[in-house]
Amino acid sequence: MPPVEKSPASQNRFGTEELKDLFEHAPCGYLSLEPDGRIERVNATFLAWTGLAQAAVLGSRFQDLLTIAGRIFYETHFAPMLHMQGFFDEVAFDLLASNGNPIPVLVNAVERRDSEDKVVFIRITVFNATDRRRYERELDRVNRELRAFYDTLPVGIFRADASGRIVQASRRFCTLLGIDSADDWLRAVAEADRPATERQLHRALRDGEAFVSRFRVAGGDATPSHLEMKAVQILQAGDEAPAFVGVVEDVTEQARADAQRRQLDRHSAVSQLTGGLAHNLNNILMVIMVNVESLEGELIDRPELRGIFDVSLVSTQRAAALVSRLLVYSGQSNAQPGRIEIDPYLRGLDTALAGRFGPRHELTCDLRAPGAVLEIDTGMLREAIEELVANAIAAMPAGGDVRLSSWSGGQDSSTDQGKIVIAVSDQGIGMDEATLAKAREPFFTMQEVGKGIGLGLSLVDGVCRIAGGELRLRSRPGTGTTAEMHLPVVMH
Amino acid sequence: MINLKSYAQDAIERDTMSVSARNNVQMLGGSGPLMLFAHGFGCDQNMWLRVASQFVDRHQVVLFDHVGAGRSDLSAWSPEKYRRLQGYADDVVEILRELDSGKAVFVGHSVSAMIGVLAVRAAPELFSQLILVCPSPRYIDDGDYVGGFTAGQIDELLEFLDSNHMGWSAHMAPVIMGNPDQPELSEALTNSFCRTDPAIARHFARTTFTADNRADLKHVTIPTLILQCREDMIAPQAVGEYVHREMPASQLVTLDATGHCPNLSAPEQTTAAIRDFLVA
Repeated sequence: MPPVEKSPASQNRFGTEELKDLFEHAPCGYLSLEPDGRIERVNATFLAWTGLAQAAVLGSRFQDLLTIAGRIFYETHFAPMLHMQGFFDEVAFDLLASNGNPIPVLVNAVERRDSEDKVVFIRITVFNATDRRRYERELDRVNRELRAFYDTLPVGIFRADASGRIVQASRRFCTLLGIDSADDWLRAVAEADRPATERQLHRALRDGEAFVSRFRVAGGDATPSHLEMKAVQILQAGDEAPAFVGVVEDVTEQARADAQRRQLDRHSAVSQLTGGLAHNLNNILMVIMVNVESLEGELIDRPELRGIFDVSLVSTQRAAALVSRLLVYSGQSNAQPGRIEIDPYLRGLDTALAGRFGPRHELTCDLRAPGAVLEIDTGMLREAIEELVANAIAAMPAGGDVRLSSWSGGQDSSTDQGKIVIAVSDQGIGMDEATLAKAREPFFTMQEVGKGIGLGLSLVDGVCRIAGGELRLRSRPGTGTTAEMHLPVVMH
Repeated sequence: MINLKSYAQDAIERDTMSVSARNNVQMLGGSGPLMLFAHGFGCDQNMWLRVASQFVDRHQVVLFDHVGAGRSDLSAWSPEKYRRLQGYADDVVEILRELDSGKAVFVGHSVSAMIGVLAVRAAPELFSQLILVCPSPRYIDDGDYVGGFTAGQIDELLEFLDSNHMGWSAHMAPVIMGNPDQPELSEALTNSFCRTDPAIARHFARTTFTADNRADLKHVTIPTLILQCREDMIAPQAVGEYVHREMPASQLVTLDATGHCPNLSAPEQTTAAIRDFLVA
C-alpha cells in the first residue's frame, strides 16, 4: 500500500481538531441527551453562556436548567411534543445561569433513531435570543401602546387590502358606522350616498389615489350622522399588493354648521334685497300718496272720476302697507316702542282676537309672566300676534285649539334669563324641516296661491328682531307648530 | 359593541350543540365497558393514542379534548365556567350521559386525574373504576403536605404567564386593532397539537396549579389505580403516596419512568399497569 499522499493538512485537521472546535465553539449551544433525557454531552459555548460547570450539567436533564415556568412548560408541553413528533423547533425558554439570571434562548430538539426506530439520543440546539427577546418585548410594548392609543382616538382607523376589503378596523370605526364587523361597511352608508362612495372607492383603488368621501350613515329614525372617510395607499415591500390605511371621522357637527352658515348667508341676502327694494319703493310710494291725496280737493266737481280716485288711493295704501311689512322684516322700520305689561296686554287681545274664531276653533290662554314689562311697538306686536293666530287657524282646517301662552326666562331650560316668551301653538298639519327652514322668508307661503302672500312669519320675525329678540319655530309634520317670540324684558 | 342578536343565537346553538361536538369526542372503537381517556394540561387527546388503542380488545374506547384544547369548540369556552376544575368535571359527566353506555372506566392524566375525582363525586353512578396517572390534588406545599412547589414558584409561573409569551416566540400579539383576522403565522404545521390559545392556556394553568382537591379524595369509593413515575417534578412520589393514603379503595403503582407523561415516555409499562388493574 503506497504511503498516503501528502494530504492537505486542513483536511486532516477538519477531521478531528476542527470538527471538535466547531462543536465546542459553535455560535449555538449543543447538548446531547440520552433517550431518558439525561445530558451526556454539552459544548463550551453553552457552558460559557450559562456559567455552569460541566459536571453540574452532565447527568441532569435539560428542563432542570430552565426557570420554574420553563420546567413546567417543558414537562407539560414540549416533552410530550418531542415524544409525539420527534422534534420541536424554535421554542422560547429562559435558561437559568449560574448567577441566577435568566438567559432568553430559542431551543430546537430532535430525536435520533436507529434502524429499529429506537431513540439513540436527543440533540438539543440552543440559540441565544437576548436581543431578539428585547426586540419582541419592545414590539409588544409598541403594539400595546398603539392599540391603547387607537382606542382613545375620536376617529376610527382601518386597514384595507388592495381590493378595498377592510382587514383591520378599530372599535371606534365600527361604532361610528354602527356595525359589528367592518366587512360590509358599505352597507352602513346611507343608500343615497352609497353609489358615489363606491365610485370614489373604486377610482382610488384603481388609480392608487387618496380616497376621500363624505357620506351619511344609514340608520334608524335618528338624525343620520355624517362621516368623512379618508384613506391613503401604502406601497408594500417587494411584489406585495399595495394596501390602504385610513381614518373615518364624525363630521356631523361640521355638516350642521355648514348648513347653518348657508342658511344665514341666504337669510342675509334675502334681507338685504328686501330692505333695499322696500326702502326705495317706500320713497316712491310717499310721493304717489301725497299726490293722490292732494288730488282729492281738485275732484270735488268731477264726480265721474271719484271711482278712479278711490281705487288709486286704496291701492296706494295697500302698497304702502306691504312695503312697511317688508321694512319691518328687513329691520328698517321706524318702530315707536312703548312700555306694556305683557300679561294684561295679551288678556286684552284675547277679546279682540275672538272675532277671528269660527265655531271650529277655540283660543286658550296660559299666561305665566306676571309683572313682566316689554318695550315694543304695540302696533307691531299686535299685528305679529294676529299673524301667528291666523296661521294657527289656517293650519287646522278641521278645527282645534289655538294656544296663546307667555312665560319668563329661567322657567324652562330653553328660555334665556331676561327674556319673556309669547308663544302661539296649534296641533295642525305642521311643517317638515325643509319647509321650516324657509318659513320666515318673505313671500314663502304654504297656503294655496292667492290665499296668502307669505309675509306673515317674515313680519313676526322682523318684529322680534327690531325689539331685540328672536322668533323660534318648532314644528313636526302632523303634530303642529309652535311659534315663540323671545323678547327682552325691561322690568319684572 | 355587542351584537345582541348573534350573541343570543350563539347561546342557543351552544345550548343545543351536542356535547360530543363541543368536546371533540372520538370513538376509538372496540366493544365492552366504556373506557374514557382524559388528557392533562398542555396537550390534547393525541397524547393518549398509543396507550388507549391497546384497550379496544375489551373496551369501547373513547377520547376527548377538554374545552379550550385540541379540536374542541373554542366558542364554548368561558372564563367563569373553567375557573374551577368542577367546570371540566361537569363536562366529563355530560359526555358520559350523552354516550349513555353504562358505567365507565375513567383514565385521567395529570390535572384530569382530579377532574375525574370531581366527576365521580358528582355522579358516582357513571363510573366503575378510576385510573389516575400522575395525579396531584394540590401542587403547592402546605404545612406538612408536600405538593412539589412553593407558593412563590407557582406565583412565578402565573406571573410569567401573565406577563410573557411562553414557549413559542411567535406569540407576539399580532392583533393591533381588535380585528383578529391575522393569518395564523403559527399554522406552521408542527407544534400545533400542543398549542392552545395563549389566554386559554394561561387560564387553564391558573385553574390547574392553584387547585386544592385534597378534601375530595376520600369521597371516592370505587376501585382506583394511582400510577406515578419514579421521577416527576410536576407530581413527585410523595404526592402519589398522599393520594393513595387518602383514597381507601386505591392501589399505587410506581412506574420506572421519568417525567410527567408516562403515557408517552413509557407507554408499554403504562398499558400493562392499567391492564393488570382492570383484569384483577
